[in-house]
Amino acid sequence: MKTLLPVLLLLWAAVSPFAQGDEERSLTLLYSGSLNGNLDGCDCKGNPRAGLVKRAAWLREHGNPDEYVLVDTGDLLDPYPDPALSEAILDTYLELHYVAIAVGDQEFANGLEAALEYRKRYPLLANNLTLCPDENRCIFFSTTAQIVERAGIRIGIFALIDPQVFTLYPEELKCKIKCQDPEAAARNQLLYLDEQQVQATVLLYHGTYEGAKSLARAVNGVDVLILGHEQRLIEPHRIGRTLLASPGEEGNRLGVLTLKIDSRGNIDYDHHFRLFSWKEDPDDPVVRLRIDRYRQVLRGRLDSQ
Amino acid sequence: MPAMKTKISCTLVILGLLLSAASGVALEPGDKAPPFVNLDLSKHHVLSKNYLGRGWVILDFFATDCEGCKKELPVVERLYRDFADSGLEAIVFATDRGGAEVVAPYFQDHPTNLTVLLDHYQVTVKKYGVEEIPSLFLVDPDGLIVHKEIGYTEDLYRIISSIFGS
Repeated sequence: MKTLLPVLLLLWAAVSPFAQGDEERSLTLLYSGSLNGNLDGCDCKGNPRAGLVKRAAWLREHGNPDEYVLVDTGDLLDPYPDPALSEAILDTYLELHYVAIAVGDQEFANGLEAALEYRKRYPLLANNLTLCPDENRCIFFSTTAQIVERAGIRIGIFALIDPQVFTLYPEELKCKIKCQDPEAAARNQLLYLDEQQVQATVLLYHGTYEGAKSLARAVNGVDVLILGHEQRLIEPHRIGRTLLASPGEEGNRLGVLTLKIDSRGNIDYDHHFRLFSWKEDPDDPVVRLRIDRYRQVLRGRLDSQ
Repeated sequence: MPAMKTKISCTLVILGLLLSAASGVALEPGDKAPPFVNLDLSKHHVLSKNYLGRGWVILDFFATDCEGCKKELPVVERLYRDFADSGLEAIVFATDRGGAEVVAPYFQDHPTNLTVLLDHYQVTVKKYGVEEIPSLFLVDPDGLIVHKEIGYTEDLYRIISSIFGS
């Protein structure tokens, strides 16, 4: 037994994920939220908006999508119905290699059927959402979390939506939307991610700051919680073990969070927000072209009225 | 000591089954029905080996807040009543994430003679690639899925009973 124990320890050390040394590994998480349909921006004094056209230019210039994890906390669509604008935005997100986009309440602006269609085509995620388009069936929006690997680190990403965000929506839509308790759903996803042996977990939470804080306190195992919906600008801070942050209003910022994971799984971080400006940042040519096409659609709509 | 060993083996079997959970590959007729282990409403573990490969089994994925599921349940109960003599078993997987707290009161108000299992972690949902509820699988005595029905259909009784008839 005395000789067996050291042998077993050596074997464990050889197969452990950090066997190649004690070095720290780092991973960059880029996060955005609350774009509110701003494919283009506006130099408005009261409510300046940079637009996705600026963020896209920065993302294309600054990186290789294989080296970071790009996520969004939802409400990327305009609150008013506009299928052409919605598709232009979602196509851009897909092109920019977003790996997970939390479903926000505004993603229902074009109706339930449209949201179900987006679910098939884009990396939208909501692990506590069930949609019942008619009285004979209900559809789980997402059954599993997203797992991605960057720099040898397995990251599990899941998204939850707070049922309260639908409070002001019409009854005919609300009765078709079922949101399960975020706490129970979080535990469910964390169990799954633990089985999948991920080394970091990211929760995209679409709801209130209060809800996010109580979730972080109640559920153990979330490393990073990115909050969306209320458009608060929140610098990362810890609630228990969970790092909580929120990128603010109108999709104007991209959070750049570098997680440093040591051999024991402890996570330290560096962080800054990249604030985009409609005046000073360059346009992404592909998105500018998409905006021009969208404007033609708008003109066509106006001419036909 | 033997009791301890049995407990450990049981836990290992359960862990193994949990860890082997497939992630969302939709199963089709002709596929083998994957094994499962879930708690029933009395908090006892129910293992699929007591059902799959032993006779005909209906596996019905359900939730207490799903209208189509509530319409489907009486049809499954009727099928079970009419074909129990032919060895048919019927299992309802309650997928509510709230677990027993939500499911037990529902079945107290709506008693059923079907076996109700909790799948609040949606492990079995993932194994069977279920994305919509109700989803019903009919499994033959060899453990193969012979029919899959997604969403509630008024023809359900006729469809399933015709498979037994044939």
